[in-house]
This record gives sequence, C-alpha cells and structure tokens, in this order.
Amino acid sequence: MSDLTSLLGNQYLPAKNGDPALFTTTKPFDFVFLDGCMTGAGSFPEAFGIPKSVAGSSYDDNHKHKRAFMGWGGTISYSILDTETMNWSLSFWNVWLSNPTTETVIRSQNAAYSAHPSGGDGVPMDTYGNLSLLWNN
Amino acid sequence: MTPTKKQRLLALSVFFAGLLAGLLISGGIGGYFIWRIVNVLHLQQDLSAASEAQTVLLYMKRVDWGTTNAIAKLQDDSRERLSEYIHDVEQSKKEGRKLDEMTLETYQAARAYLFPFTFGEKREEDFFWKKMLPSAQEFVERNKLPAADFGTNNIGKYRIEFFQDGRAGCTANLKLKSGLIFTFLSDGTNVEVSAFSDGRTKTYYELDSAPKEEMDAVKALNLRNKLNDAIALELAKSFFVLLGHKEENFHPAELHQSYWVGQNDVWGNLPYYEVTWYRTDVTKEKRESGDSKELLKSVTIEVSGIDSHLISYSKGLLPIGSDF
Repeated sequence: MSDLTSLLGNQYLPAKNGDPALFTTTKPFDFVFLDGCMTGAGSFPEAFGIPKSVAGSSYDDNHKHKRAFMGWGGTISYSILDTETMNWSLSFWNVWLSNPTTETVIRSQNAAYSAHPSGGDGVPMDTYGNLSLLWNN
Repeated sequence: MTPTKKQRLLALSVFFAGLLAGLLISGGIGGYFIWRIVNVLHLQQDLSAASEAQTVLLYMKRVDWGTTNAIAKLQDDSRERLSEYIHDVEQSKKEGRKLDEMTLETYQAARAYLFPFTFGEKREEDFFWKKMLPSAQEFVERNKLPAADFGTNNIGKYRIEFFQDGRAGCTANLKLKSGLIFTFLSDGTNVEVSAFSDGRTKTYYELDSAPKEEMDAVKALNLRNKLNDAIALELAKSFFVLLGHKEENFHPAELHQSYWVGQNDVWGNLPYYEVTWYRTDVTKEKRESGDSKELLKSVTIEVSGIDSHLISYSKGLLPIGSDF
C-alpha cells in the first residue's frame, strides 16, 4: 500500500498528539471504483487522494474538485451461481454511463441496489468523497 | 266563390310552413352530403399518409440490419416521419375524426415498431402506457414544471427492467426529447418517480483547461441568481413537501450552493442549490462509515436560483410512497 501511496504521491496523516491531520494530494483521482474484496476497508481511498475522514460536503464547502471512491468493505463472492454482485456493478456502470450528464454516483448506486438488493451479499459498498459526481465531470 | 280573409291566411300559412319544411329537409340532405364529401376527403388524406407510413415501415424493417452512418441517418429521418404520423393519428383520434382501418392498422404497426416491447410484451406495454406515462405527467403537474409533451413523438428513450429475483415490480427510465428524465420504481402494485432531472441544467463545472470565453460565461451565470441560502432552502423544502416527504422524518436539511472550479483552486458560485435530507435513523457514525446503503436513506433536491424551478430530485432507498 505504501508503494502505491508513494507512487501516486497522495499522503494522508491522521491527527495525532494534538497535530492536525495532514492531507497532501499531488495526484488526486476524480473517480475510483475498485470492484474487489476489501477494497473499501483499507487505505486505498487515501492512496487515491480521497480520504475516508474527509466528508463529501467538505469538498463542496471548500470548493474543491469533486472526487469519489467506491470499494467493497468486505469479502464478496463471484460464482456461476451467485452473480448478484456482478450484476450490481454492471447495473451501476450501465446507469452512470448511460446518462453522463444527469446520473450521480449515488443515484446510480441507488438504481443498482433497487435492481439487485442483494448485491455485495451483505457487504457494504463503501463510498467516500462527493456523492453527486457525474461521469461527465 | 271568393275565399274569406281567414281562408287566405290559412293558405299562406300552409304555403310558408311547407316552404320552411322543404328548406330544412333539403338543407339537411345537402349538409349530410357535404359532411360525407369532407369525410371522404379526410379519409383520402389518411389513406395517403397511411400508405406513406407503411412504405416507411417496410423500408425500416429492410434496413434494420444496416450499420453504416448513411443508413443510420436515413433511419433517423424515417423514425421522425413515423413519429409524426403517430402524432397526427393521435391528434385525429382526439378530435373525434373517423379513421379507416388501414390508418389504424398502420398506426398500431408504427407504434409497435418505434416502441418495441420484446420481453414480456404485454406486461411492458401496460406498464409503459398505464403506469410510467401517467406517473411522469403527475410528477410534472405536482411540481409545477413547465408543461411537458408526453406524446409519442416526444418519447426519446425508455427502459423497463422487471425484477428477475422473484420480487414483483421493476425499475424503469424515461427520457423525453425535451430533456426531462424520470426514473421509476414499482413494487408490482404501486409506482413512483424515484428520481427526476430536467436534463439541461449543469450544476458543476471543472474549468481547468477552459478557454477564457467559457470561464467568463460560467462566471456570469451567478449574476442571474435571485436567491440566497435561506430562500433557496425554503424553495427546496416546498418541493420536498410537495413530493410527500415529512420533515420530522429527517435530520435538518443540508444546503450548499453549486460552484465551478478551475486551476490553482480558483472557484466561483453558480446560481443553483443542492439540499439533502438524511433520514433520522442515519446517525453521524453511519454516515462516516461510508456504507452507501446508509447514505441512500436520504432525499436530495436541486433548485435553480435563476427561475426557481426543480432541477433534480432523487429519493434513495426509501419505501415507495413513504419515508419509512
């Protein structure tokens, strides 16, 4: 992980011993979706310049470029008998890309959950950053 | 024998009554024939339009396999002609005009061609005409949006996906050519518009590499803003209530004004506002967890500070017709 962090040049040091959190992003990503096990549980968001502890509204309040990270918060299953998680992801992309100027990340997730409520099989889809990001952004 | 004055009056009355009756009868007969002639002329027009529409349909079916740009362009033109034909026939129906069999058959064929319901045809078709369109119309009226044309010639795209996991109901989308986009959620019995967008208002700009003219144009947008935070919040709340939500079921609304952003953290406001309500069971910890199922227990509304219209609405994973 530290290799990735240094490769991408995005540093996030949480507040410690009275020192405020330090957040440096030299290469923030607009959008990251790591569609695999535990991708939302570790520090991938920080490595891509979208720290978990920075609320989506903070980007708006501070007028920063919008950015969003999505990753599964646990172990997900893909098998020939259980395609719901894959269907969830397909549904998300289908909605988000088919209306690039109107469908936000969160609305596309909503559509995916409406069509495939058991997507992720109980594992949360962890989402950080701006929920209102559009593909067109 | 000279007729008396009374007899002359009676004879005159009978004469004029006969004349009047004659005029009425001949007028009626004449009118009937004129009506028949007009109807025949209309029918001829219908037949001519139907023949043309049938030719277009035949042509469309033949070139369906085509993929070249030229054919695609021809198909677009032909689709337009079929849409116009459907619109004309629907207009005639509304006006109560008599339509011949060929026109009606062609109308059905053209409608089936442009709106093909291939999977579970009847179910999809029923949902489209009886649920989707009326719900979208009701949504437009309820939110006092400018009158939208829901005629078949204004249907841009649509999609209906019935649930495949044993649940009753479906999700669906409808995009009108005028830009309005609706998302529907149905549980098999009830249906509602779960999301809406006016399809034309851009509420965020990244101008990192934009030319000066574009930056100036975007900067100028906010000069047209007639609202401030407090008024925008009241406006958004009015839509929130119109859409059937109850404030007591949600945490206080969170508002932010839309903005544009450029290189080196340059930014400016836009004349649009986004307001989000999280349901009362969504705690701070749940929100910070990032679990989108929790984040989706919310309602988001965007309003315009230029003309106070509803830009977008989205209701997350809340039950149909209620907040809880």
